Amino acid sequence: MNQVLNVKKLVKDYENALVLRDINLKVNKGQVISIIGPSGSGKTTLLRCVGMVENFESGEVVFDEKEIVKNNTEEKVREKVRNKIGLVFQDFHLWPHKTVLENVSYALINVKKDSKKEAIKKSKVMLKKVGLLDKSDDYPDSLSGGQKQRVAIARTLVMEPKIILFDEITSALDPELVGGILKIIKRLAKEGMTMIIVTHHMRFASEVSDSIIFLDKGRIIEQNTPQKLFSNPKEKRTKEFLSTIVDKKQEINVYEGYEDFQAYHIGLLKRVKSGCVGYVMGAVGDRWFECMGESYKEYEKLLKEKKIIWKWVSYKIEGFEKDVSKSLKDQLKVSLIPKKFATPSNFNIWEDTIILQTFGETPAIIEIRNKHLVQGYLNYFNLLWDFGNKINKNLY
Amino acid sequence: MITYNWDFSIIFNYKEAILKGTLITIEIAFLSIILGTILGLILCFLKISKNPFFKYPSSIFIEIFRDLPLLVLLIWLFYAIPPLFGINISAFYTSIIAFSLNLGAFSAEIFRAGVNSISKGQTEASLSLGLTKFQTMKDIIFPQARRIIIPPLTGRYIETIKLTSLASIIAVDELLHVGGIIISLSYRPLEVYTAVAVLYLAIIMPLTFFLRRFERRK
Repeated sequence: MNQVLNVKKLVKDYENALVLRDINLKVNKGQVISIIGPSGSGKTTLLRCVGMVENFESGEVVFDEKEIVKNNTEEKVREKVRNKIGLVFQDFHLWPHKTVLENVSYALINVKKDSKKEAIKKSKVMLKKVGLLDKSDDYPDSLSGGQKQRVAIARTLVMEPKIILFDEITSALDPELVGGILKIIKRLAKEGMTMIIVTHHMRFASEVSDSIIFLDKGRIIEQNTPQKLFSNPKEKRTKEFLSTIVDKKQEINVYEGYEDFQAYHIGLLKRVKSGCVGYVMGAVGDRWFECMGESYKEYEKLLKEKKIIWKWVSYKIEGFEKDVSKSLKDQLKVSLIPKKFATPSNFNIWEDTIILQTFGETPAIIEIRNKHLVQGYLNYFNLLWDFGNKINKNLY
Repeated sequence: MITYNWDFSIIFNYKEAILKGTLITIEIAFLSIILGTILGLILCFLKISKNPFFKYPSSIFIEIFRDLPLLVLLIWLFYAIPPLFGINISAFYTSIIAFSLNLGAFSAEIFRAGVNSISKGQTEASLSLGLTKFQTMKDIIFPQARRIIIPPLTGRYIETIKLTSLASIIAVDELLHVGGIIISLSYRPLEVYTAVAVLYLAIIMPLTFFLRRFERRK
């Protein structure tokens, strides 16, 4: 397998405090790795060392199985390696004296030695990709934080790096702008880009990553798949850290459009514990399956793999029962009220999360994470469940 | 009250000498500014370098020439260069060396302050895209630092022009020294010094005006 990055025994020392100790990290082509950990754990420093904007005391970074960078490696080699590693910063660091287009095209012209025409063409394609083509001639100061970060991403992407390092790129943004940025990264992951992401968004990390590293006090404490690390952390310190995060968690998120809708549901299944129950309240035969489209296959596979069951209180719509019940044989359902029409919405309870979803023209999900709300609605659900069992023995 | 008969016609009798003195003043100022700026840039880069062999010597160099009174430096060089370096150079060049060293030391600090005022992230963003340190300095840092550097730097340039009058001490035939010679011939100090003052103003005022406009331009 093509190894893009191999960090061996990296040690970083600030004055007399050890910031990174004995870091070993391998990244294969197409892999997405997230680094989480408390502030001051060295996440950003690790990324900056790998991105060659900061030197380290000992150890080495092997890039693409051939270029080796050590503490005393000369600048020429570093320049060559930096060229292939993209680094996106928390504070964007756009160049304020250049327009958006110049920001994106500058390195193409001066590093890749593209002709000006070629560089501008490539840059415009990239700006279109991040949805900012109309801002080409503006200066960065006139952009919002989210737009700035998108330009910064475009500036990095246009150089076609082999790996991109994202350093808490949403931390300086207002909450409502975070979604757009994370969406771009999800898309990159889908396209097979190799990435290392330092983030505070645990849910995002679990959705997008192949592997998660928990870093504490400059050491890699644990590395595992998101499912295993989040649902079953091995180390005590990981558990402690995750519990502080989970307690604080109380979020409301909105997802719109087919792509997000499907990605959310897949991500949700990846996130929840094996063998958990998803409580669903809605109509049998609503448009949910239609909205999931092709990704339902993956969803169903995950359901089986993780032995997740739906507990379903529903009203039924005539004509749908047979088809649907076939594919959902092993899932619990209580039918409550027969109805002729399909209201295009339902609601689910998953562990600590309630989701409200609609299946209209554009499917949408509103996700609310609040333990108390979950508890309250769960009681409500159970009441309906019992009630449904009483009035309707006809389970299907 | 003493009545004094002003007689400016005397100035015109010596107009060629005065013109020559003015030109020499301009020459000294111009060359010192060019050399001093180049020296300042070099010193600035040496001082911000991480290599201790560059960093500390340049810091000491800057400190010495910033702290040494220019007049003392000028006289000292005038007497010290021939025996120290075994060369005979004219007072004219001695004065240019002194002014360049002085301006170099001051402008190095001005450049450094300008470069340091630009956030480190700007450099890092540039390096992470594979640009060289030189490209980063030339296209990213300096264009941004320019706005911070130019006002104090132009102030320093004007100051350097004014200080060229010190060269009269080592008998460089610049404006003030020429004035002194004319006085010893004509015994008309008031007219001559008035003319000298007006000529200094004539050199500096348009320049100040021009540089102000340049500063204001983005």
